[in-house]
Amino acid sequence: MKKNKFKTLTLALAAAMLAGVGQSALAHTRLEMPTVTEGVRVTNNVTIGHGCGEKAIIGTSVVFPDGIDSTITVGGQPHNGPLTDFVANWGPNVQPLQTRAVFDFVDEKQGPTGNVVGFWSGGGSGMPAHMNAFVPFRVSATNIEPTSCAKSVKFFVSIADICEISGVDALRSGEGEAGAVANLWTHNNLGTPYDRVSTTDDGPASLTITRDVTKNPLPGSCGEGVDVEVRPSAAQINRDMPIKFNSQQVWPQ
Amino acid sequence: MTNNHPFLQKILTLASIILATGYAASISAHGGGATLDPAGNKATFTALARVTCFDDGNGPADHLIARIRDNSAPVPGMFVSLQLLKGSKAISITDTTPGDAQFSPFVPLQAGNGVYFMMADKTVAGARNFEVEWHCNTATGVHTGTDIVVDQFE
Repeated sequence: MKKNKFKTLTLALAAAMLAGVGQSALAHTRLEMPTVTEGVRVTNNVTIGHGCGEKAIIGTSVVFPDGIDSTITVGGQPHNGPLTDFVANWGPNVQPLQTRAVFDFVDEKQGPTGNVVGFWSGGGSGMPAHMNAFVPFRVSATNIEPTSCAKSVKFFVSIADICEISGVDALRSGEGEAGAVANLWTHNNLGTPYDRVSTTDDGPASLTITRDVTKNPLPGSCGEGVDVEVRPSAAQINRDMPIKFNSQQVWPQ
Repeated sequence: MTNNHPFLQKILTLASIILATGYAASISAHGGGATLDPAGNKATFTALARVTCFDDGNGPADHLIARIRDNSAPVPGMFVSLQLLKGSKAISITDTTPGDAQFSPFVPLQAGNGVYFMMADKTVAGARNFEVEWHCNTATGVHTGTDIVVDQFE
């Protein structure tokens, strides 16, 4: 009887492990909280979904659209005006939080005026390939422009999960998520060395700010409102995706 | 695994350099300093930022207060000023005693929760090292949610 129970338990564990492997192989790196209401500050996490095949994640690089030269669409149509037409205070509004839970180091990435446009974390033993991991950050209170018709603003977040330090040319020459030097959760169509190799633009994570229609009602002329999307420029990705430490680039090399 | 070591080693080395030198530029949560017109040839040099006031649990913001300090030595006709603007309201303050240890008085702009513009500028060409301090407060003067993004420094 005891032997049977042990066998059942072993089979159950094996099944659970296999199921877990299958699940993690499908998990893209995303934000723990992909949707946030405007006007509130929240703690969030980049959730790393898996390693590169069997290789551990040794670092991650995260970039938010800076809103300066970003591409903006409204209801799927291009918008040529500034982001301030829809968001009153995007900087971007993120701040990495210090932790050594997964990686030994974390630091901001700053844009030309000193605003935090992303962050990186790396060093230490990192995340084993079969695990998931959190990289914490804070999202500052983000306000939707009261005079706009935006009911939501979605920012696409470009992320590179690094498994091996490499040159920039090697990033797209591997075998995707099955053993490459990095997993690229990035757009597939910007024309940068960091572009995800994919037929569909399914790489980036996203952070959506939703309008608080009680405190910030839509103007009467807006109808049901519009959904706005913000993507980074190629120039910003080329500038901000590398990891620099004390002004020296350490990734890619 | 062998590829991890140079990464870690480099970062560790750089970390020790930063720890040894990084304390020169100290910035608190709601205060900071820089040099306006570092080349010393632009009278129109203006710093522009947006401060967001929001309820961080201490209550909704009633007003933003800010003050400025000109750390550079006095120069005849040279003064550094700070302006706050939100909607149809604005206020300004100048540090009238450059180079001393004193900030200007705080100036308040009462415009509730939301996004305030904050500008710093000066009267004539010349580099000026300055500091600004800003806080969003509730109606009873309790500090509440305060964030900032910088739009321009030129």
